[in-house]
Parts: sequence; C-alpha cells; structure tokens
Amino acid sequence: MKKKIFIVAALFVGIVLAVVITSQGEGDILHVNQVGTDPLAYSGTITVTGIMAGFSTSDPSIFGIYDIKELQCTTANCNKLYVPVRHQGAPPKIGDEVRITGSFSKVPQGVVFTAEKIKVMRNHQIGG
Amino acid sequence: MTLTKLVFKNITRRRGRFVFTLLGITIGIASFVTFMSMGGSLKNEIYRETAALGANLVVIPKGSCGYEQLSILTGDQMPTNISAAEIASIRAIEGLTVVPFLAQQSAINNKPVTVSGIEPAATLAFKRWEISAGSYFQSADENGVVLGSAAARQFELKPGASVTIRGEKLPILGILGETGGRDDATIFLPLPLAQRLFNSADNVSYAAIRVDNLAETDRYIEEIRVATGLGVVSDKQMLQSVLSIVGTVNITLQLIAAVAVIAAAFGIVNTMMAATYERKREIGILQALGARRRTIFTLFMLESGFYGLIGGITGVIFGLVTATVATPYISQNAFTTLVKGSGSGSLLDLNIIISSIFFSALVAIIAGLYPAWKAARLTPVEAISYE
Repeated sequence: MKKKIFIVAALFVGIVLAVVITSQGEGDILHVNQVGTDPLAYSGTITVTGIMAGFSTSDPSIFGIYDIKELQCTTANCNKLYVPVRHQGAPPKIGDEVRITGSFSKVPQGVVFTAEKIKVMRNHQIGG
Repeated sequence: MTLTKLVFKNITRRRGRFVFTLLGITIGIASFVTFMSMGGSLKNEIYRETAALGANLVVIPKGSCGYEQLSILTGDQMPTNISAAEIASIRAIEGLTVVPFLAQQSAINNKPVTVSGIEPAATLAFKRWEISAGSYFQSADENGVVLGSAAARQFELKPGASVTIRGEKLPILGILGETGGRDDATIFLPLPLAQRLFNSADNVSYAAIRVDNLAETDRYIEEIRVATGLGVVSDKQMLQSVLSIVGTVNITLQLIAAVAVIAAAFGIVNTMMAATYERKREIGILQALGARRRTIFTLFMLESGFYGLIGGITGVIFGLVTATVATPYISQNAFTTLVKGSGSGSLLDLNIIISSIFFSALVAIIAGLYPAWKAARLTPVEAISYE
C-alpha cells in the first residue's frame, strides 16, 4: 500500500513540478490592449503577448503588434491599438502570435518596447 | 455475504488498481466540475455586469462587433471615436439620460487597472454610487481620482495618497462603496482630465443611456441612429451578443472536460475487464451456488457504479477546490476577465454538484456494461475450468 501511495504522491509532485517549470520566467503575461495606452506605467521587464502586424517603414528593426482579441473582430471599424517593438534578432512573421519579454523605453518618436526574448506561439495565417 | 459486501470486498481487494481507477475518474470529473463552474461563473458575471451598468441602451462606435460590447462589461481598453458633438445630438433627444465613458487602461505596480473618464455628477446620479472614504469629485474638471473599492484594496491606496496615470501624479480624493461590479476595480477620472491624459480630444468610448419610457426603446434607438449614425444596442441585445461569445468558450471548456471523462471511462472499462478475467473462477463458483446471470451482471454493474459514485464525489471536491484556487489566477483576456470578476461570484452551484455526481455514476455504469455482459455470459463450466 505504501508503494502505491508513494506512486500517487510522485505523480502529484511531477504534475506540480511540470506546471511550475513550464510557467517559470514568464510571470504575468500582459495583452497589447492592457499596456498600449499607458506603456510607461510598466517598469522593468514584462512579457506582452500579441499578433505581429508588420514592420516600420522607417526602421525595419521595429515591428508592430496588436491584441490577440482583435483577431476575432471582423468588422471594418475595428480600431486596433499597436505597440511598436524593437528587436535586433530574427523577426517574427506577419500573423505570428508572439510572447515578447522586454521593457518599455522612451525614444524621440514616443515609446518603444525593446524585446529581449521573442517566443512565437503559432501563426494565424492572416497574410501580409 | 450480501451483494453490497461482495462488491466492496472485490473493489478493495486490489487496492492499487482501485486507487488508480478512482484517480482517473476523479481527475475526469474534477476537470468537468472545474470547467462547468468557471463557465457558470462567467455567465453569472455577465448578467451581473449588465445589470450593474444600469443602462437600457448603449451607444458604441458604428460597426463595433460583439467583442467591443464585451469590453464594456470587462472594462478593457476601447476605441475612443464618439465625439462630444455626437453625445450632444443624443442628449437633444427627449426622454434620454445619457452618460458618456472613456474606457482606458493603465497600471499600478505593473498590474493592469481599468481607468474610466466620467462626467462626475451625471455618473454619480446614474450609478447611484456611495462614497465609503474621502470625498467625491467637487467639480466636473477636478484634478484627482476616485477609486473603486476593490482597486483601493488591491493596491492598498487611501484618500490623500496619489496614483500616477500617463506620467501624471494625481491625488486620490475618495473611495467608492462596494458595487459588486467592474466599477469596484476601476479608477475614475473626470472626463476632461482623462481626455487630456489619453490624448483623445473631446471623444469618448461609449455612452450608457437610460430611457424614460421602456415601451419606446425601438423609437429611441432609431432616433439615435438617424441623429448620429452610431451603433446602438439595447441591454438585451448586448447581453445576447456577449453570451453568444461566451457560449463558444463554454463549449470548448466542456469538450476538454468530456475528453477527460471519456479517458476515465475507458479506465473503468479496463479495470472491470481485468476483473472479469481474474475472477472467472469466482463467477463459476457463484453460478454453481445458484447465482443467475442477472446477479453476476448486477454485481459487476454495482462495482463500476461504485467507482463512478466515489469518483464523482471526490471529483466534485477536487474540481471545486481547483476552480476556486485557479479562477483568480486566470490571465486577463476578453473571455476570462469576467471569471476573475470582482470576487463576489460564487462557484458553488448545487446543480453542478448534483449533476456531476450523477453524470460520473452514469458514465461509470455505461463503462461497466460491456465487462458486466462479458462476465454474465460465461457458462459455469467455462468459468469454473479457468486456470
């Protein structure tokens, strides 16, 4: 009986550990619509999730992301809020759902989210 | 030995198998209860938030979809393109009380918080708020904020302290009494101050309207559309629209739960099949002692039903605990902010508890049908000669 209790306990501990490990380092994931209107209210490193919309025409290292919720809005009047992201590495593709870890900083044009890490979750096939 | 005693003895004879089979059905039913509780809570919160809005009609930008209507209830950021002139045109229609709102988001200590620009006097009269600490806005363009009770509690803020919104430090004038809705988790600013901070000129996000004569709601809707060209929805239409969005989420949750329950059911089938093969001799002895096929069938059905009943009870307990613990940690999005709510929604629904236990027993009985039938159709010779 003790052996069985041990197996059940080990299973439980395993599940808890798996949950802890997979959620480690991401903290609270914020949405574009939450951070976009007052970005400087967020200090330090945060993680933002959104959909890659396209590149800046003036600076190809900057791309914009919008809220995942907007994927559901199919009417012409959807007013998307974009967060500009600066990233030096390989950029995500248009339509990629991304989780970006980084921080907001002031630039002459306004505020930009400087990415430290980008994790592509999936592509939503929105073209572009 | 009675049939019940025999069932109990058989089940507990192999404790390890009993524990793991029970664990399977417990996890299945726990996930079923968790998702059902969350889904139920989501619906209740939508009804509550719609009632808390206190509006018969809501004016939204033209072409807005159901998701923007959901944002009104969740307190999410909304586009601000309804102009002051359009609000004035609506106010010119007789029989309407119009209250505009500017819905935005900010953060305190890196935690998102809903910010709402309001016309202080009109909103106070419309919402019938009470002040629990400090004072309310004394003028329409006062430089300060009033907090909802949950926001004050969450960020440990009191009147006299200050909050920073869009880089501007604003004094906290007062704290509202508990409303039981999203207003509790909101920071309120006078509309001119909110419009200046969020660069929205004289625009607002939406307007809540109370009509003098409910029988003439359709006429009011038509008049507003003609006067402004904006979208107008009644509280019932908005409720319908939002519930249809939430309905799809509920179906997804129920499908996930169904997979867990089906997996558990196959666990029971497996256990009962193994029991059938292992106890062939016992079945033969029972038959030799005069037990009929119906008795053998009932014996196996009772065993699987017992798994379902006990698994159902433990699953309901685990499910409710999981739902209670998990709900506050659900990340904020269009669907789950309402589950998170302001904390007053109850997850304990007697209907869910009873139906889950019944469902668990039913699934286990169905899962036990084939093994019980296999056991019952054994001939005494076949059963007794089994080595």
